[in-house]
Amino acid sequence: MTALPATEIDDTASAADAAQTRTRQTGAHAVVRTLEALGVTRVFGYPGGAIMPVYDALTGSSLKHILVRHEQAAAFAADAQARLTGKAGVCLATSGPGATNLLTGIANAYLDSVPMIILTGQVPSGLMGTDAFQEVDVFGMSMPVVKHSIIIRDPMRIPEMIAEAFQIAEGGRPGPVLIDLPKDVLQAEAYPTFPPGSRPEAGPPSPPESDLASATALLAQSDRPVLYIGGGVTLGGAVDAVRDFMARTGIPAVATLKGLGCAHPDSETYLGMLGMHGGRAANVAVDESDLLICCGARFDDRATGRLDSFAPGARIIHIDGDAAEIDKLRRAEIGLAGDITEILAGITNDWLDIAAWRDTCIERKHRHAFRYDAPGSGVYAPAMLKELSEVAGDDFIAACDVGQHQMWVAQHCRFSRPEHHLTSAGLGAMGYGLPAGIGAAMTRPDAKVVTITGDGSIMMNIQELATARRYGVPVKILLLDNASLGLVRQWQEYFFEENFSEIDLYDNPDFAEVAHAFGIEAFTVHSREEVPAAIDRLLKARGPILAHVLIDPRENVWPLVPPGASNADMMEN
Amino acid sequence: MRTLLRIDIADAEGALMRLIGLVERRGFTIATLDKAASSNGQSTVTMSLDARDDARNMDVLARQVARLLDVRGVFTPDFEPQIAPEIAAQAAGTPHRWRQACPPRH
Ligand SMILES: Cc1ncc(C[n+]2csc(CCOP(=O)(O)OP(=O)(O)O)c2C)c(N)n1
Ligand SMILES: [Mg+2]
Repeated sequence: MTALPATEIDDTASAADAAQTRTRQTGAHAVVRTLEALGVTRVFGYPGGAIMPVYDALTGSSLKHILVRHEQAAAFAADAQARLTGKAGVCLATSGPGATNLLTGIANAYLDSVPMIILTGQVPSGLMGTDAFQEVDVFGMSMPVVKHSIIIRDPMRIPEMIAEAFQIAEGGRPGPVLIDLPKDVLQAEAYPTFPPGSRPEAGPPSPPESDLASATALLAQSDRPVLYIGGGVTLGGAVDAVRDFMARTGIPAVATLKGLGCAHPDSETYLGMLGMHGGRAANVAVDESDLLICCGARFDDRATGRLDSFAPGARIIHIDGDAAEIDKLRRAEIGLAGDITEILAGITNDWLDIAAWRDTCIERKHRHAFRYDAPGSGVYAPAMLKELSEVAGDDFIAACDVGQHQMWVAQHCRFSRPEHHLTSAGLGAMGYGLPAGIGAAMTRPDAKVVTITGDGSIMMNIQELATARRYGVPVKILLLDNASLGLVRQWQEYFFEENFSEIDLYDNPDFAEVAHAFGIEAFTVHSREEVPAAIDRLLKARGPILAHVLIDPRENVWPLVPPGASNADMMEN
Repeated sequence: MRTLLRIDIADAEGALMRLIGLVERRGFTIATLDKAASSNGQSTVTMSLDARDDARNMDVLARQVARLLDVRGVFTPDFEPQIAPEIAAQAAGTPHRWRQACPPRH
């Protein structure tokens, strides 16, 4: 979102000036008017004492407020909207418990670099620091998980500071920006004008030509290069550039959880996800590579396994929009910070001769392709997910929860675009799926938005069925019920000697009945033969719908790299 | 190994807390800390730091500090870093003895 020209706010100001003669304008009105003027149309929130002046100012505003049923869901829904649009999502809560309930959602946005504006009410300035009722120092508590944060002390500065917060949230490497609003500031009489644009955030300078030439030289010397794609590609708007680079060079590519959807899903040289639940073809290619071109990825431990044996024979070219990522965990021979599209275009491949390597990688990809012929008549979740994404087509958007089902989505679904895969990657927060699905379906009502969740995860934000119902959100919920905390169970099975501790959810409610109680269409799927009809019904539904799918509790996610092991030592079924 | 870092930081609410929090969270212990009086809306902070383990990299820390919105400049010393804190504090006043660790953000 760009800063407003002064005239634009003057227009709204003149409308407001007329109103001013009738009503007193406060800081809270300035907050609402600023959001409107910045082009915000929707905010997710939950009211309470300290933020009440803003709720008062909301009535009569063009802003659509979505009342969630837990503040965490407000943050997750705003997060999903932001991932889909690239513009900051906005959430709103009161001080104290409202603010602390937001924290998980803020951390989620921070770890996945999602632009978000968080508005929190705060106790009046004079009471701050006195342990007043519903006072917590959310400014201090959130510091490690925000890109930036401010307390607005002067109502006259509200427009300027909020506009700057949007620029910060959306500029450079995006992230959440928290704005704490003391109640007296919200209630003070204030008639601010909008200032001219605030300082834009500069991206890193382009790397020197000589570094690009060195990268080209390193590539020319390589026999077994691999492109390692991460979420930074999407953040840098470089999806097309990566696809072009892959097509131009023929270099085999692997992706992280956040990098899924960057490579064209039908590309022959795209080998799939690497890492803990990556495929064999991807992990082996990285293990054997002599040059790893890391593009917008950050050597996260879920992707690398044991770091000191990750791509052991590879030299590294690290390309990233954020200079602070380079050399953080693995030293790069060449670090290229800047615009990813520009950098990839600057690396030439005239001398590259990797036909044999490419054929090996492709052959391995086919040999180790996932199989879907699981025995029995029960629903095989990987096959159902694959079919769902293929039937839904390019408009398929998945909002995942966390667990085995999330990994199956990553392994088996087809994504035409990276932003269509909404997943809590960095934080791994159970409870993300349903509110994210709601935020996504409100943002893209034309698309096929499916929340894919587990019987553990959905219970973390199940109250949001009420939000889906209230607003008639066309979110489709696929609940894979294995009557357990499956991913934890899998780890206990393999790494804790089958000591199954507190993972059994045998006493789950009947989820279809729960959905019915919220007024939502729902049905249960018991066997494999019901799957095609279930997918059809889900995709054709016009309002919210839940498919409760019973699956085998013993089903696991394969392959699996044991914790602390090298990716090359992956376990398979 | 003890290293020095000099940071020019804007006078903004929470700026110092954010800076100190980041340095500690990223795996460094703050051995000494000096903040000069502010002038022209900013002040200079000089810290001597010990890495908690060998994997911590001062260049990466400097770039992480430079990402903070309130930070105006990050400098590493042009002299031997294993010096006494008093000297570090003095050195903070002599800009030519410091080199810019990363380009300014704004
Ligand atoms: C908020 C939160 N608490 C705990 C965890 C740890 N955790 C990761 S996966 C998982 C199990 C998830 O169960 P379910 O949603 O049923 O998914 P399944 O693995 O069975 O597919 C747990 C408890 C987490 N990621 N997030
Ligand atoms: Mg489960």
